[in-house]
Amino acid sequence: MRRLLGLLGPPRELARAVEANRDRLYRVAFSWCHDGALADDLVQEAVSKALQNAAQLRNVDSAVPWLFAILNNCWRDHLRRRREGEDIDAVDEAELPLGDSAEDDCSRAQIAARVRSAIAALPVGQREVVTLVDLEEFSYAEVAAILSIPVGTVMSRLSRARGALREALVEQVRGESPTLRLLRGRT
Amino acid sequence: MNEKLQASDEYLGAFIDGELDAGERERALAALEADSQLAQRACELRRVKDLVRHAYADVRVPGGRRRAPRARAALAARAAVGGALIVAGVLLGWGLNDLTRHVSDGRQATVPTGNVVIHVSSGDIDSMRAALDQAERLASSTTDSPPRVEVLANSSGIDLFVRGASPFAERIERIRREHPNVVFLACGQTLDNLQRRNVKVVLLPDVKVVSSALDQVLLRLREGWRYSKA
Repeated sequence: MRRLLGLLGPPRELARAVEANRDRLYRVAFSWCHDGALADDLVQEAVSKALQNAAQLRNVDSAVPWLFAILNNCWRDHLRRRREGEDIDAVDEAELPLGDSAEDDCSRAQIAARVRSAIAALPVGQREVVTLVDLEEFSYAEVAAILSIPVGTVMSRLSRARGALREALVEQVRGESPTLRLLRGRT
Repeated sequence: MNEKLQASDEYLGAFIDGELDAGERERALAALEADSQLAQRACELRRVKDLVRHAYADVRVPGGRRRAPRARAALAARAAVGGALIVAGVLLGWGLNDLTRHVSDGRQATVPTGNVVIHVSSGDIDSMRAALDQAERLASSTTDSPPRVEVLANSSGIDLFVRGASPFAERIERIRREHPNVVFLACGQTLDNLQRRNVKVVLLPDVKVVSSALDQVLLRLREGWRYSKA
């Protein structure tokens, strides 16, 4: 019985890696789907899968990219279930709601919302690459491993993603960009 | 150096991402100094990168666990002892119980307990049934001290515990009556999400709510429980 495998002992090393990376996993999941509840589900599903398949993890040092790879699989499964038959790399997600309340109206929140909206509008493949590189600072090689794509594809998707973001956020990117200073000052 | 390659956004991206080796980096810096247009493009890419990072800087697991620092320290101390022991435990299972207990003598290392957390995240009736089957089987084991068992539901698995939706309400009540060592837990995060969508949910009696399924799983793993996915 397959399930018995899960009974052979709790992979506590892995549990520790999960705990240490939980916010990161959630943040990346959120940046892919822009839906808090879904991001939470994706992370839980990914962790559950990781715990079931702990035996596949030969080296604890590679636990982090491995966890993100599983997260990506869960996310891709979700997209597949949602839109059977479409080419998910070409899907445009611009219609996603970006419910960031930010009553305080500070432009920081507005900018963040605009950036998120621009990222949501990227094709899925580009969105995944740019968030893994820029949010979590994975190397190109790690991203290639996480997404099971060649490094060259990582570079071209990243470049296209940034080109599109530069167009969409031209006000924020050009010139003095006081908004960026504002953002920086806050963290 | 290849001018065309150098001018590409891919190359500039690799530069700002720190993906160039030392020699390439030197050459890129020299080129940027010599060409203000190129420098401007690199600068813009850099800004895009910063914008992306800042746009999600505040994103955290909602209501995520915030354990006391002391618990963390204890965990770290345990980690120091844990390495080989954990690997051995994972590879060899329960045969090593006594040995590990001996090795970790007085060091508070978590020892496998025989307790099990059974996770249900799917609304699929077969998964639910499998979870309950497993819980009952474990709970009625004939050993001196039957293990503690938690059946933990989240996501669409939450239906297992929802009055009116659960296909196994009576069975759950019976298990509770016959096996006090079995506990039923619902994920608070999932309930919050349902509430936010204005879905009214009443749980079966005897189902307790935990902050989140993931927190609970991690907590139990730390305590030496086993994890099983239905």
